[in-house]
Amino acid sequence: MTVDTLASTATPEAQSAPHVERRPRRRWEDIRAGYVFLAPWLIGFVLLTAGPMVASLYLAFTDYNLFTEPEWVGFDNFVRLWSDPDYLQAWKVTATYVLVGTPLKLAAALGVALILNAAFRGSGFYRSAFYLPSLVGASVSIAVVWRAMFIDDGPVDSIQQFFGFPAGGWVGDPDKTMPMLILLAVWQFGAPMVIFLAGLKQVPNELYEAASVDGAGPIRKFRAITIPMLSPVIFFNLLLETINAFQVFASAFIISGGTGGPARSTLFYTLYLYFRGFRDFQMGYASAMAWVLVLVIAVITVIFFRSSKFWVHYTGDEGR
Amino acid sequence: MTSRAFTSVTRSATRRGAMTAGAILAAGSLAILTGCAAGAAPATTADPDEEVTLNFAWWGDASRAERYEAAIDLFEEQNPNITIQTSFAGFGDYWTARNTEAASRTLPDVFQMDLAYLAEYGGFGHVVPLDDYLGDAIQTDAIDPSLVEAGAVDDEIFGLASSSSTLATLYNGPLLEQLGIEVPDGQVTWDEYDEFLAEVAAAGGSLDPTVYGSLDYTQYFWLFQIWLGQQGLTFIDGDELGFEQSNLADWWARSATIQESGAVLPPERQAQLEGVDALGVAEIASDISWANFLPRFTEGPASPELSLAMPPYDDADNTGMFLKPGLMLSIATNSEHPDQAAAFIDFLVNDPEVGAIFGMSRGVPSSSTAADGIDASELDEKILAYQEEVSDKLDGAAPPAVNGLGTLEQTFVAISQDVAYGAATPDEAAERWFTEAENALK
Repeated sequence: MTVDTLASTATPEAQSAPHVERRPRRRWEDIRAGYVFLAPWLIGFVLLTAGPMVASLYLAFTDYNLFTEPEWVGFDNFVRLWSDPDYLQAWKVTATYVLVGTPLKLAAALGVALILNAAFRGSGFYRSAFYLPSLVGASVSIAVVWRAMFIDDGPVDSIQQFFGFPAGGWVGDPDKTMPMLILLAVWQFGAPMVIFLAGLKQVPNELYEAASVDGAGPIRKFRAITIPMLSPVIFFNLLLETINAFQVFASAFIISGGTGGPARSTLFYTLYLYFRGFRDFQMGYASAMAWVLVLVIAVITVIFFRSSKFWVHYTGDEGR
Repeated sequence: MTSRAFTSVTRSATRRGAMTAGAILAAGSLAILTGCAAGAAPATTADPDEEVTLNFAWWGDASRAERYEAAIDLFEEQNPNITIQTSFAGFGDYWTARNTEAASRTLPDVFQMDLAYLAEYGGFGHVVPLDDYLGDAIQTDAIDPSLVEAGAVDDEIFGLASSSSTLATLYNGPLLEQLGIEVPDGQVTWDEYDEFLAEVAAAGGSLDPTVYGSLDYTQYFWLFQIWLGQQGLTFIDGDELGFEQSNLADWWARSATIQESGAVLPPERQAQLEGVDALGVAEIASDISWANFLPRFTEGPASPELSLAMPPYDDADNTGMFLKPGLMLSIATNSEHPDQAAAFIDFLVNDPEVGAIFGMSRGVPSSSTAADGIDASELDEKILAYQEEVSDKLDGAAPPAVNGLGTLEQTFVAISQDVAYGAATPDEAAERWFTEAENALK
């Protein structure tokens, strides 16, 4: 089909072949038009994102207290990072959140997507209902409510007492604040779920039928058909959610009351960065932290992409 | 390759028209954006008929906010051309907000200042030196010169203290009576205080919710200052810390004792009481805090009846007590109406009606004209009586305003929480704080 249209549109070009010098100018007009339309966003990007990023890279090598001129210190900030116990704690906390929270969130998303895939009466309503938390989840108000749920004699405390677990709110217990935050992350599974649903709908039914004919049970079908066919979507969701998980700030800030949690149990990387930059007047140090985070996320992204060769199957490749 | 498919389109007039429209739209949105960023035109001189809006920010709780709003209503009545927009926050959040504003030069015209950040804000030019206004737009005749000087950094005054305060132990008499324990009378040594707390907690276990002796007092930075003074040490000596890591470890070792004996409110419980005072909800029977917080605690949900006494000291000749200049007011350098801002500060500090509104809740007013305006309530009388009692026992001194004092205070509170949870030993905690101090004090 594609070959025909190319041939038909090729003819006007062949007829206007003598006017070769006009073609580059027309192309430039297109490009110029593109830039003109892009201009508002591009200027915003340069001034508000790219420019500050470059400035922050410079600041990472300085001692800057927000008030006086930055003073060049070279790699001092980066060296200091590794002997800072709070910094290592921040990595521990963030890594726990990413390594535990993201897989749980995706598992929940996939699980619910599988259930909702079988269109039953009301599945449309449930789809919207599950999607709603991910729209409002990162907001301050949800974090405030979430915190209020987990205090002494709050709803969660009442439920756990009912089931015979020891009483006590989760907010004040350093061991329970991380589960609380991971639960908040998992509760927002709606966005990846919707994407999984879209992916599931694209799995051709013939594959399942053929598998049934060959005598495959539901688990075998899931492992051999659903997962491989969904692997591009899984890859996309995994990458996006991991990157987002590294950057969580609002919920950590609100739930810990702006302190980094009882006994530093909610001292997330971005929260610690915020303290260093805006509370302690150590903006150079905070900028160094920011760039280390960028590098770590970049490395993880590269690892994801490289490894995707081994487990992500795109349909239409090499007639697999 | 793809543009070939669109050659017919590029020739059409509609395409060119769309391009022009797009260019106009782009230019227009840029212009609007620039217009928004330009902001208000700078004002010139103080014109009494000029409509002026001042921004005012303070830290404190709801009860302080009520009083400030009442004072502001009064000011706006007397100065109809001035409108005051307010904002307030808790101490920690307040300073991160102000720090960000300082970096972007958008500080409020008038804002509350503290010793903790006076050196940075004054030293780096974020607040206006008040020397030109003092004696003129801001009356200082009624203010103790030493309190005026307290707001100075390198001989220039950057903040005017509207009050001074001292620490006190507050006891909930009726609650203690209910538990069958007597309110300590006279001098209480540190060990005696710890024993008292343990007694209260032992008896308080029978109540619901459990009543404890106090909060873990080792998290109180300003009580630590008093304790240092009692040991004959100072917080800052010249450019460095005036005490050793071992001193700090000894202080935090007290936390282990009172936590183990169950004498103090567990940190888990304290974390959940955010926004409410433990003393105000009667979950503790005593606390060590600023004497002028008496009204705030009494207005708490459990309406406790509190009495004031001196903080613990082992040696009657060495109480370590001092007057802390409080609730300083400063004018931002980026303010477009410094004259009106100065008039507002003068009003807040000196006006007798403002004195009446606040009573003793912000401490002893630094200005005697404001103090005269106080129609002393019962609580105010208690505070006044306590201030008089301690006035001849002030043998300590508040730490000087140095760069990094605010950070040191915040880090102290954060690390002491780790100690309370048992997540750090006193020695580890002291080491961590000293590492921080080295970085902060440069």
